Amino acid sequence: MYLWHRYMGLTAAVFVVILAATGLTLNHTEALGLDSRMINSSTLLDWYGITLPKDPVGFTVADHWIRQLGQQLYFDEQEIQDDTGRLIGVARLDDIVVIALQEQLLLTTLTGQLIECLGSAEGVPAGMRAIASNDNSLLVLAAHGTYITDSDFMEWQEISAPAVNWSGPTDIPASLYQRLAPAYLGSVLSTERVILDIHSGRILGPWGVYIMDIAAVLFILLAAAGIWLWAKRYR
Amino acid sequence: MLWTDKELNKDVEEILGHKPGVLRIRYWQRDGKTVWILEEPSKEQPITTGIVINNDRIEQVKVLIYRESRGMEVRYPFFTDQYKDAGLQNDRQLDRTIDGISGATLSVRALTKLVRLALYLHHQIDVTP
Repeated sequence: MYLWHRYMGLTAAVFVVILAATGLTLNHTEALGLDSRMINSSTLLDWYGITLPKDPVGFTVADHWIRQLGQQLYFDEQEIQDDTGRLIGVARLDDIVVIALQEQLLLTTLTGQLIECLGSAEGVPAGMRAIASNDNSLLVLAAHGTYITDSDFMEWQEISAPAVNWSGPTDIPASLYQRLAPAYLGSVLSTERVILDIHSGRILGPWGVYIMDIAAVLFILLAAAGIWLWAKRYR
Repeated sequence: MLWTDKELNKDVEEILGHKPGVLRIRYWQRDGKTVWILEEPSKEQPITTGIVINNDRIEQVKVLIYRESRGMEVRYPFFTDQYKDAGLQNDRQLDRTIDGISGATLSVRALTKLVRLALYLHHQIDVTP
């Protein structure tokens, strides 16, 4: 039993170190800012299969580009929001750029500074499909009808569908798309995610999880063997 | 609508722990009351909250949209009623202690920040009776 205990201990030692080091780090995720430290390593990004999205959506307004890569939204080359719904359209009302996402309207200045985010709580119609500007009013084609609001976005009124040019996407020039690549790729994978995956074994896929499961069983056997040996010696 | 400026941003950052991130904040006003719809992330997702203020005191707090998978106890009146009649001290803290909920610490913290923020913003506008 001594021999088994020794070999189990040697085998388990590697996993103990990995689990202890990652566990200790994860206990202090917030203090270390692990969820906001993003991974830039191309090796790790490739390992996770993170690449540039193939179908970026872009709209132009007042000589600016509003583009969506994955869930990141960019005003020219400046990220203005992440974790966004699908980009539907862009319109201009005076000096305000209106960016329509699936369930949200973002209002920005002409230089991309965020003025306000409006959602259902502010009366934005659900299920937006398209937007258009018309005589300093915003028209929204939504799931349950067409709505109009003014530049204050205080009240929404349902109207019969007008004949307007709804905002439509434009092909993004390849050069602009490539310029966004480093910013996008460096904003997807957090350090916290990688450490969590090492801790659980998921970084090696399902087999990594099984290996960690085996390690856990090994720890239990190690503890049991150790107690048995101690009890035997104690008697 | 309340447009932010440098000084307001500084105070808001002190309350929320981060910059407001927007240039203006909308509110509704009638008969001396103001209503604010504000959002603050709990762990990862924002909690959308409606806050009614009357006579510089909280009249009602209502969680409108809760997106996290845990901590949703903060939606219920047994928790939000604690904020009723709360006011803001000179140091921009609430004038009372709010009892937390085990397992919902971040949600409680987010809601308390929003209540403090609403009271602060209420003081920044001319409230017509």
